[in-house]
Amino acid sequence: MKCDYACGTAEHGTSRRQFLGGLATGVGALTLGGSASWIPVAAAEQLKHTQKRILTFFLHGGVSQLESWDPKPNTVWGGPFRSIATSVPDIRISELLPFTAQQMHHLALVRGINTKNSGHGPGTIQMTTGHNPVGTELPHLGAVAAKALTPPSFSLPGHILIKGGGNGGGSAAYLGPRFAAVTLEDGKAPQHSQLPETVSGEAETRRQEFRRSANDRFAGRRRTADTDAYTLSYDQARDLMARRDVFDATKEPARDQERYGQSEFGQHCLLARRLLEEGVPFVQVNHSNYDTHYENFDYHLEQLGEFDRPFATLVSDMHERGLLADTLIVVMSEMGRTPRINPRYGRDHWGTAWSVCLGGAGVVRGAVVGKTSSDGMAVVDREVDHGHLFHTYLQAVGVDTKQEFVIGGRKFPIADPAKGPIAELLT
Amino acid sequence: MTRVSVFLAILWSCFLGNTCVLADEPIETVSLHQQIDQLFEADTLVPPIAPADDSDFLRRAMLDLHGIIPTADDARAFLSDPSPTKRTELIDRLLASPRYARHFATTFDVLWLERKVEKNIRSQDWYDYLYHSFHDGKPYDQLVREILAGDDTQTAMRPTLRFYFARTVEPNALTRDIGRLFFGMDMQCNQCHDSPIVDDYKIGDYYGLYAFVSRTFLYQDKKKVPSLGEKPNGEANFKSVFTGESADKVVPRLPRGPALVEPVLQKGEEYAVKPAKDVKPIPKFSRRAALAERGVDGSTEMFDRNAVNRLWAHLMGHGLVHPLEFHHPDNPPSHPAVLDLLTQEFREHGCDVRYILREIALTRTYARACELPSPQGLNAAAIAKRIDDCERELAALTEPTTDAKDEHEVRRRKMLANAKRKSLEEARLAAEYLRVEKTDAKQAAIQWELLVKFWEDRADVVILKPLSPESFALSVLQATGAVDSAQDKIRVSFQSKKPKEWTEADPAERPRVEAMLVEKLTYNQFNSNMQQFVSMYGEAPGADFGANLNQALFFGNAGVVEGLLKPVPGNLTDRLTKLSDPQAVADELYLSVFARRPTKKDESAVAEFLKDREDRAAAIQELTWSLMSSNEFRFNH
Repeated sequence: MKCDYACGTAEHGTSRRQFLGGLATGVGALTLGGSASWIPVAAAEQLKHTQKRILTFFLHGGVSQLESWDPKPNTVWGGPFRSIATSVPDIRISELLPFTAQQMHHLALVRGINTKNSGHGPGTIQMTTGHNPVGTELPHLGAVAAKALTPPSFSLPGHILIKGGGNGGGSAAYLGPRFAAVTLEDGKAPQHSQLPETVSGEAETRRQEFRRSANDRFAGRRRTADTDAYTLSYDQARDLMARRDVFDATKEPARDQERYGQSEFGQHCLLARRLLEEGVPFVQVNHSNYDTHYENFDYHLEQLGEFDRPFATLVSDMHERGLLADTLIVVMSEMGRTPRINPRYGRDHWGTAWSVCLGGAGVVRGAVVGKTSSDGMAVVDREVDHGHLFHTYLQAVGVDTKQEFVIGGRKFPIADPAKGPIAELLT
Repeated sequence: MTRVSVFLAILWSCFLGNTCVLADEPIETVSLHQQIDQLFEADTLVPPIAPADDSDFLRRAMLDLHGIIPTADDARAFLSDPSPTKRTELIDRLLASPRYARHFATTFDVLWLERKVEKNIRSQDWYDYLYHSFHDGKPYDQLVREILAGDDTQTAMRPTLRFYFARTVEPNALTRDIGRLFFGMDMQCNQCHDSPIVDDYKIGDYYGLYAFVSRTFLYQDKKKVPSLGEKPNGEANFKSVFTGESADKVVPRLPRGPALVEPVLQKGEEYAVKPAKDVKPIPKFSRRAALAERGVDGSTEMFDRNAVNRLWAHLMGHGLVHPLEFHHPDNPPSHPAVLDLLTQEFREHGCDVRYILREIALTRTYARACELPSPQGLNAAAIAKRIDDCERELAALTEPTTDAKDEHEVRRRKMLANAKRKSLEEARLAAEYLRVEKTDAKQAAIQWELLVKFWEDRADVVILKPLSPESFALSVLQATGAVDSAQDKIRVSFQSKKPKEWTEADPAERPRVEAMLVEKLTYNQFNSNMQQFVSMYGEAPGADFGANLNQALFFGNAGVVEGLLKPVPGNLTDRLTKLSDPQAVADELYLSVFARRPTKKDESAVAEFLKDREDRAAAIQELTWSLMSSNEFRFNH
């Protein structure tokens, strides 16, 4: 069933059921149910200072900046919701994000984004690749991060997309399929990670053993970096199959299940935590759908109601487990929404003045960069775009974005050479 | 080959400091492949490498020319053929088959369209156009002329529009891709400034090419049928974002070629068909047509050099110039004389792709074994001489000359000097190895490794080529017997009902028509298997080999390979299960999967694996899976 308020483009085929399903978890006490009492400290400690990670949330369809990070209550286009105080004295955000407000001291806001675009397709390309569409495919942030951050012997995929609706696959383009997203459809384990029914565990051991011995015999004739890589890929697959539990959020303690809630998004946040603890360099969690051309306010109430608590719980947990110091968090969309409210109580596509929320590794906590006019129609201070953001994300995790990737002898700049990071946002 | 070109080749050979071996031989008998070997071998210090055995040669040639491994029967027949000319016969047979057209249509589709999505033109029509072009032996220059012309006034040419449409007729995307794909020059950076990566590529070069296509636009008639329109005016202007260098009204100019001379047309006289409602305007002078004509006619040697370098790379796994899309003086060919010779022969033989492929495939160089050479074969005298020669020639090449104003000559001397520097580097590495060989085993091992790395980087030793996704899929289907079984069924169905194409054909033509139909229907049947493999294994063209765990999970667990291993009458599992002798099993298995007979070690490993196994069919499937997931299968060696 098609989402009945969306703009009708192919990007937004999602079911109404998902929204209704989200309603139940949105309402509740304004605490996170106490902080987590059970923390596997050892694992977190081990990863500390060893490896940087990125966790992104992609709010499909374009979340409204006015109903989230840059509220303008009591102005002409401000809408019905109030702003609320946060854990950072000078920052107020929408009342639709009460749990997140309490985590604001781990986060920062970029409020002066102008991507000069208002389409889902181009916006997704801009925000996930850091470039305007150029006609050829470009690598997704996750592929770039995986290429730059995955340790050589890492036995899990470096780029994971937890899909809960929303399009987009996380292409690696010229970086090669090794860094393309491994998609966990509806939060399930990766495709083909279980043996076919006809192959027993013993048979698998025997055939892998014979493969190895055949490879050893061939290595006597010729051995190259490519033959080594091919051999390694099968060993990595074996490792992943043996560690399939990593992708199973139900293995987390019951208490955490409860704290994150039984909504699909809540479970996906818990799964993201589990993966980050295993050291996965890049995890993206999709949340769909925010394309609110109709009834913008009702739908943001529902959607952000589903988003707020699990997101805030995850930020808080990551802080307590020591993960936040090494993990960059980004909450992005392909664009924002028009300040002007249309006759159907909707807000339309808008790339001219909108916001992104960041936090964690390398980011100045509690910072706000950029400002929009009082009617929200324009950026009035520190205008930035997707190119600057892309540099910022990667520099926050220690990637030198002035470097190039060399692929098949060709050089590809890691980020747009004409842009640079938002320096005041980086620690 | 003409007298002049032989003479040039001899000159080259002398210039490189070798004895003029060609001079005494009667000119008529020196074929291109022999000349290539002479030039190549005179210009490398790699110790002699044994020729590939028949199994490796058969598998290599099949994969390169047909994109599929041989069957066990093919292998048996070739191995037992006593004819001394069987390799030449094999190459000729492969090039004459419809499978050759299929494999090259696929190869050039991936090269030129880079798996771009279907837009306005059916991908299948474009693919069929390529298939027939290669099948009919259409000269390469004509093929590219048709594609660049984008002229749909004849229905048969309409599929060529896919090249433009897939790039949304966007002039920058077209400039970049035409530069890369047809002239071997990736000028992507030059859209905004002189290249920071390649000194030789200038912003003006980019806009010279851009000016040919910038007037072209997507035209839709009133039924919304898309085609290419062209304006008679509109200029290419640029300003460098680095230096501020700028130009207005850039004259169209081919990469490293002449500027276009355009007719001067009075205002109001520019159109052959004037623009009007629902009428596609046609300019009197079309820059796009000029690109199609002049780009391919030899006006710029870049067109020819790019073409033969790509054909060389297809067979050798690596270009003489590498990366393939960076022809410039600081990236010299590994063997300049070989590239010059091929370039010249290509044009003289009417840009015949089959001819160039055949000659390369018949070289000793192509037919070397994949094993690395042994250091014992290094020739100390040749190395010392090489150092002397290179130093002398380098001095001559870097001296100021009177030709300093001839841009072409300056560039050429620079390129040759850089090639010479690489030769010198090789010789010095080899000399250093020999210096420490006897006295310092540890240092000698390091030095040898450096030398091997040098040879691998420029493909002076055999490169292991990963199978393309399509070839990998087809080879799995072939090894397991699925291809044979599909072909047999199609042939049987023809016996009961002859297809229309067959009955309508001239009786003498019927066997050929039938072979084409069987090939086509078989191929179509496996299209979805190939697409599965493409989605798992498809790399960006030219990208490094990248193995990943998703692929390994797919190969092991997706059920695709399992399905092909289920016993079906006549397939590999079925055939092997019926054999009781483990040695016979090993023989049939290795011939089917690797096109070779098992070694003693292989035989005992198979016997060991099958010992005490009562579930023989399952054991056979495990064994076959193991071999198909091994390096020997994944690579063309």
